[in-house]
Amino acid sequence: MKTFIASAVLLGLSITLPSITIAEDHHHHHGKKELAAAASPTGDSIFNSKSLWQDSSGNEIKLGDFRGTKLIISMAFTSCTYTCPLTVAKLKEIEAALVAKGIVEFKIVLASFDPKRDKPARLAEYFKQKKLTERWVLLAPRSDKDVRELAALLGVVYSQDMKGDFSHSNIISFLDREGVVRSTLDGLAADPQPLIDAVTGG
Amino acid sequence: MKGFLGAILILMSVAAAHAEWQPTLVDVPKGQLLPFWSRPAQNGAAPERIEVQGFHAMTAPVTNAEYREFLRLNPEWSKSRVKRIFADSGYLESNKTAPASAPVTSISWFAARAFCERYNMRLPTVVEWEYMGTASETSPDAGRDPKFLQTILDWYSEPRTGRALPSVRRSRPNYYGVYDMHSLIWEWVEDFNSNLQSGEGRGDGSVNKDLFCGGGGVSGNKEDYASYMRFAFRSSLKGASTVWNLGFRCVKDLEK
Repeated sequence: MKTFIASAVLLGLSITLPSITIAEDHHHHHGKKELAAAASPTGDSIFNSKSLWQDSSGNEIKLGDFRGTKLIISMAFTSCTYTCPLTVAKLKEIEAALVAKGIVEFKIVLASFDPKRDKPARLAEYFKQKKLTERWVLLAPRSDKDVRELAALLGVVYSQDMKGDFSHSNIISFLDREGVVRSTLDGLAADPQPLIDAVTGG
Repeated sequence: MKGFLGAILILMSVAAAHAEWQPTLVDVPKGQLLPFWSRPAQNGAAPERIEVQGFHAMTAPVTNAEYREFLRLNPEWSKSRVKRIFADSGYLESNKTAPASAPVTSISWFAARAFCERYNMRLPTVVEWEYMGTASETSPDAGRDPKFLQTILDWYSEPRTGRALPSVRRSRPNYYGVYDMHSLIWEWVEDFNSNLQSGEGRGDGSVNKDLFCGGGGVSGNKEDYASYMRFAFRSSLKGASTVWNLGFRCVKDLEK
C-alpha cells in the first residue's frame, strides 16, 4: 500500500512538474515577446509580407527593409507600353508636388509584375531611361508567388496573357513608416491630391 | 519487463501520432480546358483552349483536423496571433464547433497559401481548378453537358440552413478521383485576383483604360452560369477575406 501511494505521488509529481516548468517558460517568453513585438510589424502592415525582391543594383530586399520611411508604392513592368509610362508620369507628378511643399523624405517604390524579364540589370536600364531620382526604388520579384502576394496586399488585380504581358489595375498606395496603407489612388484619372495630402500629414 | 515494453509502445504511438501529415493526392493528367470565358468561335474556327500541365491534386478540401495540426506546428497562424493584414476578424470563426472531417472554412487566401506551402504544395490556379471541376463522374470534360451544369446550379441555389458543413468525401468522386469540387464549399485559387473587368462582365468585352492596363472581359459559354458565378465570387474577395463556406485544397507540381 505504502509503495502504491509513493508511486502514485511520484507519478503525480512527474506529470505536474513539467507543466510548472512550462509556465515559467511562458513568463520568460512574455519578456522576449515584448522585445520581439517592438521589432515585428504591426498587424495591418504590408511589411509582414515575406516576399523577396531585388533592387536595380541586385541587393536583396524584403519590404520590411523600408520601415521608417514613407512609401509611395505601385506595380508595373518595363515591357508595358499602355499605361505603365503614365503611372511613372503620375508618380513623378506626385513627387514634384511633395518636393514643392518641402516634403522630401519619402521613397517611391515600383515593383515589377515580371520576374522573367525584369531582372535587376533591366531595371537599372529602365531607371536611367526614365531619369528617376534617388527617391525611386525599382523592385525585381524573385517569383510569380512574390508578385501575387504583394498584389493581394495592395489590392491590385492582374493577369498574364499567353505572350507574357500583364493586364493590371492601376493603383498607387501611400504606406506610412510602419507599412500601413493610408491612402490609395485608384486609376490614372483619379485626383492625386488626397494621396499627396496623406503623405504630407502622415 | 512488461512495464518497460508498455512504456516503449506508448512512446511509439505518441511519436506516430505526431508524424508529419501527408496529403492524399491523385494524378490529374495534362489536357486542355475549354474555359467558359473562351471567345466564341469566329469564321468557323475552334474556340481557344488552354493547355493545362498535369499535376497532383488533393482528393478533398483541407479539413478542420488537418488545419488544426498545421496550427499546432505554426502557432503564428492561430486566431489569436494571426496578423490582421493576413486574415480578417472572421478567421476560423465558423470552425469552433465544426467536426474534424468537415472542410476548414473562414480561412483567408494568405492562410490557405501558408498551409499549402508548409507541406510543399501550392494553391491551384483558376485554370487548374476549373480543369478539375469540369470533370463529371464519368467524363473528364463535362463542361458543355447541360445535366452536369444543372446539378452544380442546383447546389448553388440550395438554401443552406444551419450552416453546418458535412464531412469531406461523402459524395462520389469525379473522373480524376477528386471529391467535393461542386457540392460542398467555394475554394481559393492562387490567382483569385486576376479578373479584370468593369461594368456588366457578361456583355462588356471592353476595359476601362484608366483603371486597367491591358485587356480583360468575359464573353464565352453563356450556358455555364456556374463558372460565371465562381468567377464573380472570386472577384469579390480580398486576400484577407474569410467566408463561412470558402475553403481550399492544395495541388503539387509533378516531379521533373
